[in-house]
Amino acid sequence: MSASIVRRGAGIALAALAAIALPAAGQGTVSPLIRGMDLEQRGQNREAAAAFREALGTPDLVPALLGMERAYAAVGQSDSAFVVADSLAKAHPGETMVQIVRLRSALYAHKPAAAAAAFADWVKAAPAQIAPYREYTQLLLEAGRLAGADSVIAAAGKIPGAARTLAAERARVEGSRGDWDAAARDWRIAVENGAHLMPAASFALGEAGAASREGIRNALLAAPVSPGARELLAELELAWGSPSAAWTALSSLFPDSAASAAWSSFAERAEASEAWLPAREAWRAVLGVACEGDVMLRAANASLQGGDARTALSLLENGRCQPRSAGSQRVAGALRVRAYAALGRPAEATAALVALTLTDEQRRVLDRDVAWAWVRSGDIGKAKAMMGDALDEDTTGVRGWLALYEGDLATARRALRESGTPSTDAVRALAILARTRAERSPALGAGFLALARGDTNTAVAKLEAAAGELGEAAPALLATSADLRAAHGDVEGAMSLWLRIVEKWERSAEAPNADLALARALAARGDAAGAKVRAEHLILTYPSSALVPQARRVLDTLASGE
Amino acid sequence: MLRRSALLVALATICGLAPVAASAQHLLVPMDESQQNHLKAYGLTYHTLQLGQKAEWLLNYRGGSFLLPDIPDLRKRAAIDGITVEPLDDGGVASVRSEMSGQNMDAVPLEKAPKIAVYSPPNAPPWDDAVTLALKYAGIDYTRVYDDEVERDGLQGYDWVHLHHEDFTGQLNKFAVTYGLTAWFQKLRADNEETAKRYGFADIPALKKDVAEKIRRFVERGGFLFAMCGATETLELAIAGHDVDIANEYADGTPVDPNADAKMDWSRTMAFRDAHLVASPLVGSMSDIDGHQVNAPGQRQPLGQFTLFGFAAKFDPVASMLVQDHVSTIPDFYGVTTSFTRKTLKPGVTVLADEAGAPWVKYIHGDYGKGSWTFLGGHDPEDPQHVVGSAPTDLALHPNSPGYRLILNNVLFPAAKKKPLKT
Repeated sequence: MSASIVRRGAGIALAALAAIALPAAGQGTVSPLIRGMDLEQRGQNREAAAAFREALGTPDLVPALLGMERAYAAVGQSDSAFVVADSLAKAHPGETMVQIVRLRSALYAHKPAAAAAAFADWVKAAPAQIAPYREYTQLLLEAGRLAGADSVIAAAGKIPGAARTLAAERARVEGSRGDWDAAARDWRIAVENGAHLMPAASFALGEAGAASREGIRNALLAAPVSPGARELLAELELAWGSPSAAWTALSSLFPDSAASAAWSSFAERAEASEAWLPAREAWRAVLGVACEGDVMLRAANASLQGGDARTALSLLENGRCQPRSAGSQRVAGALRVRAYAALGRPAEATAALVALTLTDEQRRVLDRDVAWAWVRSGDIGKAKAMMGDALDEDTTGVRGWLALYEGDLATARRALRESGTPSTDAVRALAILARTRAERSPALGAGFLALARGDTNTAVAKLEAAAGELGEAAPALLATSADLRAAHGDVEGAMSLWLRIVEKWERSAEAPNADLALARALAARGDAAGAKVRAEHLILTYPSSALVPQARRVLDTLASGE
Repeated sequence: MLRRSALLVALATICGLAPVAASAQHLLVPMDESQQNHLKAYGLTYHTLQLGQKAEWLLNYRGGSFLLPDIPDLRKRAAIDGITVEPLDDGGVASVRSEMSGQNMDAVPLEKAPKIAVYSPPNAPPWDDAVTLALKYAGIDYTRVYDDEVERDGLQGYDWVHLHHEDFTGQLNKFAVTYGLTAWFQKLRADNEETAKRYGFADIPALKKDVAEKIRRFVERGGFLFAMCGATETLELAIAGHDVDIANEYADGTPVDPNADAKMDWSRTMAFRDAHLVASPLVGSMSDIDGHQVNAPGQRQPLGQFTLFGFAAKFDPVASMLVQDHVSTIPDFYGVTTSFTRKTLKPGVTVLADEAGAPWVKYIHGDYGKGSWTFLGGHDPEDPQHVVGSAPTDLALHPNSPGYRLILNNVLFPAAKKKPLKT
C-alpha cells in the first residue's frame, strides 16, 4: 500500500506543481515551498519536510501538504504527516485534498481508527458528496481491507448516483469474494461510465476461472447492447483464448464510426494472434462502415490466411472498395493469384499471374503457389512446367513432393531431406520413406497426391494399399492412415487400424502410440474398462516408452471418474 | 562385491517394472528417495491387504518401506502405477531384518484393509479435500458419508473416519459474511437446514453438535479418527460446547452466549483445552486454538516449515507409523485451521510435528477411550494458499508429496496388528 500511496501522492503533487510559477533568479527570497521541493529533489527529505511544513501557512497549502506527505513517507514518518493533516483538516473542512491526505496518511501510518474518524468527519462536513466514500473505499481496497471497503460502499448508498460512481470499487470487492456475476454487472456499469476503466475491468474479470465465465458473459451481453460492455467482453474472450466468441460479442454493435474503430482494433489483435477468421469478419464489418481499398485487402488477406479463399476472391472481384494506388493494386493481384490457387483453379491463377508486374522473388513465391494448385488438380506435368528451371534448384521441398507424387521414392527421399526447413508433412513423409528401401511405389505416391488434393478417402485407401506393398513401412503407413481417419471422424476405422498395428507389429515404433490412441479413443466413447486394458497394455509391454506417463495419466483420469 | 550387489539391486529394480521378471518371495517397496511414486505405494500396500495377503511396514527403514509378498497381481499393479519395487528372496529379507535389528527400526505387521469413511458433503463444495484426493490417487477404496449416515448408523462398521473442512459449530465456516450470496453457499446452507429439520434439530448448529457427539462416541468405542483443517478445531469446540450457545445469531437466531468461554466443558474433548472462542461473525477464525489465524484480519501469521519428530520405532510404533516419510522437514500450508497453539493442547497429547520456536504445533495424536485420533492442521499440503474456488490439486504432479504421505500414513495405521506396547 505504501508505495502506491506515495505514487498517487506524487502524481497529484506534480499536477499541482505545474501551476506554480518559479521565481526568477534575484527576484527576492525563495518561498518555503520552492525550498522544500529543492531539498526533496536533493534527497534531503527531513529538511524538505520542515520546509513544506513552513509553507503550510502560505497560500500554497495543498502543494505544501502533498510535499510534506511525500517527504515524511520517504523517511518512514507518515504518522507525522497524519498529525499535521489531522489538524489542517479541522481548519479546512471544505478542502478535498487535505481530507484525502488526512485519510491516506492515517491508513499509511497504520491508524485504522483514526482513518475511520477522518472519514466520518469528512462525511459530516460534506454530507452530499461522493468523494469521501470513493477515496476511502479506494484506500481500503489498496490496503486489502475488503470488508471495510464493502461497508463504506454500502454506506454511500444514500447518496444519489453512488451506485454508478462506485461501481468499479464495488466490482473489485465482489471479484475478490469470487462473486463474478455481480462483479461483471458492476464492471459493466463502470466501463459505461468511463472507458478509461476498460483495462482495469479486463484485468480483474480475466482472473475468473472457467466455471465463472458464463455468468460474466451473460452480464456483459445482457440487453440493451452496450458498446463498453461488448468491448470488455471481447477483451476477455481474447484473453481466454476464444477469438470467435470475442467477435460474436462485438459483432452486434451499431455500425458507426465508434464501432468501426472497435472492430479495426479487434481485427488487428486477432491477426496478431493468428485468429484469421474472426479477423476476416471484423474487417468485413469495417468495410460496411468505411468502404476503403486497404481495408478490403486486409479482409481478403485474413480470409486467405484463414483458409477461406472463396470469400477472399469474392472481396477481390467485387467492384466496391477497390484499392487505387499501384502498390495496393499489385497486392490485390497477388492475393487474387493465391485465391485462385487455393481454390484449385490453376489455369485462372496462371493467367492472373502472367498479368502481374512483380520482382523475380515475388514471382517465384507465387509460382510455387500456382504449382501446388496444379498438383491439387492432379496435373503433375503442369506443376513441373510452372516451376520451370526453378525446379532443379528448388530447396523448398516442391521437387521432393513432386517426385513422391510420381512414386519416385529415391528422388523424393533425397530432395525432401535436402530441403531447408522441412515442414511437418515433409518430416512425416520422410519418416515413412526412411522405413523402406524401395525406389518406386506408385501406390504410395498416389496416396500422398490424394492427400495434397484434399481427397482423404482416396488417400487412406492408397496408403493402406501401399502398406501391403511396403512391408517394412506398413505400421507407419497404417498409423498415418489411422490418424487421417480419426481426424475425419472415422474413429471406428482408425481404431481398427491401431488395433492391427498393436497386434501385428507389436514391436514397431508405432505400436505404443497406437495403444495410447486406442486407450484415449475408448475413454472418449465411455468404455473405461477397454481404455484401462489398452493403457495397462502399453505400460506393461513398453515400460521404457516415453508414452508411459501419458498412459498413466489416462488411468488416473479414468480412476478419478472425470 | 559391493559393486556387484549394487548392480543386482539395480537390475532387480528394473525387473520390478516388468512382469517377466523371475519370481522372488517378497517385494520390497522402498519409501526413500528412490521411490518413484510414494503415494501410489500406499495404494499397493492397501491392495495387498484387500487381497487377503499380509504385509509389513518397515518403520524407519528406507523412509518407512513396505514388505509385500511377491505375487503377479502386485507386480503388475506396481508396474502400471510406476511404483518402484525390489524383489527380495528370503536371504535378502533376512539381511534387511538383520540391518533393522541393530537400529531404531521395527517391522509392524499389516493384516486387514481398514474400512474407510470420509465425512464430506454430497454436493461438491468449491474446495478440494486432501484426503479424498489422496485416496483416489492412491487407489484406496472409501465410502463417502455425511450427516445422514452419521445420524442413522453412528459410523458403525467403519474402522477409520476422516474429517476435513467441516465446521461442527454449525456456522458454515463463517462464510456467510463473504460468500452469503453465492449459489454454492446458499445450497450448502439449504441442504444442511433440511437435514437438521429431518432429524428434528432446530438449526444447523444443533445438528452439527449431535454429529460431533456421535463422532466422539465412535472414537471412544475404538474407532480411528483423522481430521484436517477446520474439522480439528470445530469438532472439539462442538464437543466442549455441547451445552453452550457458541453459534452466532445468523446461524441459530441467538447471539453467542456471552459467558460461553467459561461454560465450555473441556473434560470431554480429545486434544484441546481452555480455548477462547472468537465470537464475532465478521472474523473468520473460530478460536485461539489455531496459531496462524489465517482468516482473522491483522492476525495472520506467515507460513514456515514444520519438522516431523523421530520416535523410537520399537517402543513407540504408533507415533512412528504416523511420521514415516522420506523427508523430515515439510513446508507449511494454510487452512482455516493451520496449526494448534501449544497452550491449548491437553496434557498427554503426542506432538508429531511442530515448527521450531513457534508457539504452535502442526500434527498431533492421542488416544481417546478405546480409539485414537490424529489431527493435521492445514488444508492441502501441495497448495499452501488454497482458497475457495481454487482448482483441486492434481496429485499426478506430486507423486512424491511428503505432506500427502502423512495423510496416507493414517490410512494404513489402523491396518497394523496391535502389539503389546513395550512402554
